[in-house]
Amino acid sequence: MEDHATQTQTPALTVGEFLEKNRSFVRLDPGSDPALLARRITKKRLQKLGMALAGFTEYIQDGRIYVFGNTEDSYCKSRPIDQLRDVIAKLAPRLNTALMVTQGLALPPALAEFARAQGLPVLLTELDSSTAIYRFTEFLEIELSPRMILHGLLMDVYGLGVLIGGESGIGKSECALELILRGHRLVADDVVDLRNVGGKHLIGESPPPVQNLLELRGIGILNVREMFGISAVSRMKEVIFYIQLERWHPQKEYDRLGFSWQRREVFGVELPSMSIPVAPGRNLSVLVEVACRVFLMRSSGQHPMGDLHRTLLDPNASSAGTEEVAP
Amino acid sequence: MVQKVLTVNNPLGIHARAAARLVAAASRFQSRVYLARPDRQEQIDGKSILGILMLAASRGSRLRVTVTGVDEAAAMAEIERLFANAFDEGMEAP
Repeated sequence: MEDHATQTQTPALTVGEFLEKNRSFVRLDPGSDPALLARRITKKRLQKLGMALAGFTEYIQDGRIYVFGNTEDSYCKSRPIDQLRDVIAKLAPRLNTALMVTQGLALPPALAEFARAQGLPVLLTELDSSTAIYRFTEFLEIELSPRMILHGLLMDVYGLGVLIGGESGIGKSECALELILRGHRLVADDVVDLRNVGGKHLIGESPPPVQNLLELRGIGILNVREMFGISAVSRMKEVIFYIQLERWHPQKEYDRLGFSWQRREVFGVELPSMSIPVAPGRNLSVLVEVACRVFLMRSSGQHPMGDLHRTLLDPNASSAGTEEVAP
Repeated sequence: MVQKVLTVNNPLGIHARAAARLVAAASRFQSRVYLARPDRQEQIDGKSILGILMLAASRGSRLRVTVTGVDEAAAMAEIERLFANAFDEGMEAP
């Protein structure tokens, strides 16, 4: 979409970052060299080693975490050690990111030795394989989604993630301040870090250095969390509604009826949107708040314009309060 | 559109005051101004002070500056001048 909305490089997470963010569930095997923490995870899905141990190693991929669980453990125990050594020799060039051992199991000595020799980090978890796969795949799904930085404002209004766009100087930050004073929560001002999760969800947050900050011309930079408290900020929010603030153009036609949504694509996700013209005497924060109420009403099927339309088309319908004629 | 890679050469890098000067300069023009680290794709709005602070550009770091709009040449010239003059540091009151 907008020319300044650019995507970053292929997303990746190092094994070290992965461990740090999941430290209550998984740790590095004491036998693994901490230098291996720099290995990069690029694939979202964890996979069981499974058939690779039987010699079918073709689909072992770079950047993926492989899981060694009960099945693999029993299989290894049932095979002669020589056969296992052959398979491991085939695995060596392909398996290079990380091996996760679940259920508190211990790696068979042949595999442990292989991991040491190959410089393959071994991660230990007490979780069972299916829980580990589900949990960490979900984690990676979000961590490894494409990201970009967008210039705009992300607010949580009545629990709705509302992304507010508009050129600089149009009054986004002032609008944010008023919304905060009206009890809504700031997610990110000016610099919004967006992730496209699965092409379907847009998750926004503030880049850490400028989290909780708001810049107001003439006043300077405020720390919203310190000034207004924890309930005035929100760390992360799914964006589900887009509002474009724009200067009032006399020639442009604005929606006067509210029949339907405009749609706007933001970083690969289509969002319902509204354009709100900015002009003297129009209170932006109130307009944004009302736009969100309208969004909530339309989402639940309520539609004032639809009601009016029906009333106008039906000659028998008159103003509210008219008695119904009993059949 | 004009694009240049400029080097930050004031001792403190683009700290708050320098960022404020850069934003003030960019905001004087109608053109859109974007800044990015040369090794990164993500662009920051040059009229956003929080955006520029987020770049955390220290001394010696290089920034890709992109300006598009009717007065792009003048805007780029002014931004270049700021970079070359170390964001007018030394001209400010202590």
